[in-house]
Amino acid sequence: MAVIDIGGYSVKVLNKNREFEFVLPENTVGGTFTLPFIDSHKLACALARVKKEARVAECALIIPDQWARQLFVSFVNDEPQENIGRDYVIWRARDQIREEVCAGAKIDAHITAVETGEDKKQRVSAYLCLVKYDILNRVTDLFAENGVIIKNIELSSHAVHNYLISAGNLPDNFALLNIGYEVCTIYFFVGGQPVYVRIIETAGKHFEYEARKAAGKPSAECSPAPSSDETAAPPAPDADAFARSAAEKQRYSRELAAAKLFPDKADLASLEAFDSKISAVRDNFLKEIHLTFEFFASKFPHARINNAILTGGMCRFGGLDFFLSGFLALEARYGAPLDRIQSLGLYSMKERERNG
Amino acid sequence: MDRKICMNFYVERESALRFSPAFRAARAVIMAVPLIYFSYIAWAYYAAGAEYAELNARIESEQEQLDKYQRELKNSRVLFFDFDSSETVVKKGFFFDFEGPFADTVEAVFSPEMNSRTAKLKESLAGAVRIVRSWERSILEGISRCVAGVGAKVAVSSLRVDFNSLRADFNVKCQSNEELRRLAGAIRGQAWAARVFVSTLKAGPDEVSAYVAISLKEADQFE
Repeated sequence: MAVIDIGGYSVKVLNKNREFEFVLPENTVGGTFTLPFIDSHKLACALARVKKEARVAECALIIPDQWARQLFVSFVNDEPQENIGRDYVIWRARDQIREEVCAGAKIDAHITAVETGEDKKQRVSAYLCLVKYDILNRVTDLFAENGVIIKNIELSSHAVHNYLISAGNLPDNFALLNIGYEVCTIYFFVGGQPVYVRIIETAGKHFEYEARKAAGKPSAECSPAPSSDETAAPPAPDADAFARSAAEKQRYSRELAAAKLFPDKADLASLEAFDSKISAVRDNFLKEIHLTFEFFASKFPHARINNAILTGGMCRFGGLDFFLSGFLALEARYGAPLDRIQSLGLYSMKERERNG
Repeated sequence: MDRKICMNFYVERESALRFSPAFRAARAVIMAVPLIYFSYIAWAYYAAGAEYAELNARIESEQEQLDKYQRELKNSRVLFFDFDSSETVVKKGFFFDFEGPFADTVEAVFSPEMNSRTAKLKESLAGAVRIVRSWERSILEGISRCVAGVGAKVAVSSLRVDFNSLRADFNVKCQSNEELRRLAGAIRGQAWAARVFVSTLKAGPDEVSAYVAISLKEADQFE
């Protein structure tokens, strides 16, 4: 069975040990948990290529992290229960979630801890994710209309995390930074279990827009914001417009990668160039990351994070491991070689399907 | 606790079922069944096309023949000419046309049962029915011979034979009384004639017309 990862930048496909990447036009996939966004016409064009070139009939799907709401819950059982399953955890956790949050959302859980104290009370901690049924239904229907049947849906960061565990050599306490095109997701793991998540809405796309603006080129940000209302959808782009938009996006990405946004070595010239360049997006990006780590440290003072693992397509810009190591005073390393750092989730999902 | 986070946000949708390979295969098989059936019918029809045409033509011709036979059957009447010899005749023109003379003499073969029933009927009717011995034909033939023996210009008309009253009568025209007397004498000489009465209706130099009445012998008429 194939694996498809739909992200803000591209659709990545792994089928029969062959990788495919189909760059998407601007504003195809995005939004948030409350207002997830998908442009059916544009994605349908991409899926038609997926079906034709990658020959996919069934797939496991990886969806963007920003479509989910991540929660951490804990509850106490006066008497220890055997076989604490995820359905039980979801049922117990519902009264801790606001009705307007869980209404119309599919919930899944990962149990992080089950402990029985000296008072014989059982304490259960869990990590929950919620995704709106609306977006799940739309994605499933869209894929089905284009001849691809979805068998499994997972979040991007979960798939990346599982890949890293399979790869081995993972510390108990670490931070996972999945820096993509639309958002940067930061997961904090203590004792091998997730304890805190934050999604920063500054990522590759915003650097690209800033670069276009600086170059005096029209920015896609200036184009009218697409409506999540499908009834008011714009007319379907033709294949040529689709190809032009994707090609332009790839070109800007290559230019950004060549521009070396972050210094990759302790070189005076590089550091001076970095300091002299004014970039509001970069400053905001670093500020948000710093705030996130500061907040985690304040909330979990006993947990010391010495390692950060970087994944996601924006890592291809280069220099992030070196820069963040100094910036955050920890060891930051890439989760995989740069040429495949954007497709780690594909391999972990493939292994998961193989193992059943 | 397992470190791997395995969540699944899969939703079951009718659209996915409709486009699944299993659904498509099942739909193709179900749609193919009537197509295969009609294809087979078409193939069978065209394969046996010549035979169908031949059989249809044969049915049409046989239907025509059947209609012809039916018409002929309706238009014919089978008469028993002589019960003793089982002589039967066929008369045409019974239903559709005017009835013609005797068309054909056919032999009717009765089953043994029919023969025994006929014999029983005769036994039961013995004595109850008077069987005419000298029948109409011999009387007519006799009169005809008598007329022929008298002369060429003797005309007989309105001849009637009534076995109930044992009487036969006719009108006659001849040239002279002599011929009339000779005719009456010839008829008296017939075996079936008892008495002959002649009543002259008109007498002239060249023509004599008379009414002749003949009483038939009862014993000679019936068995």
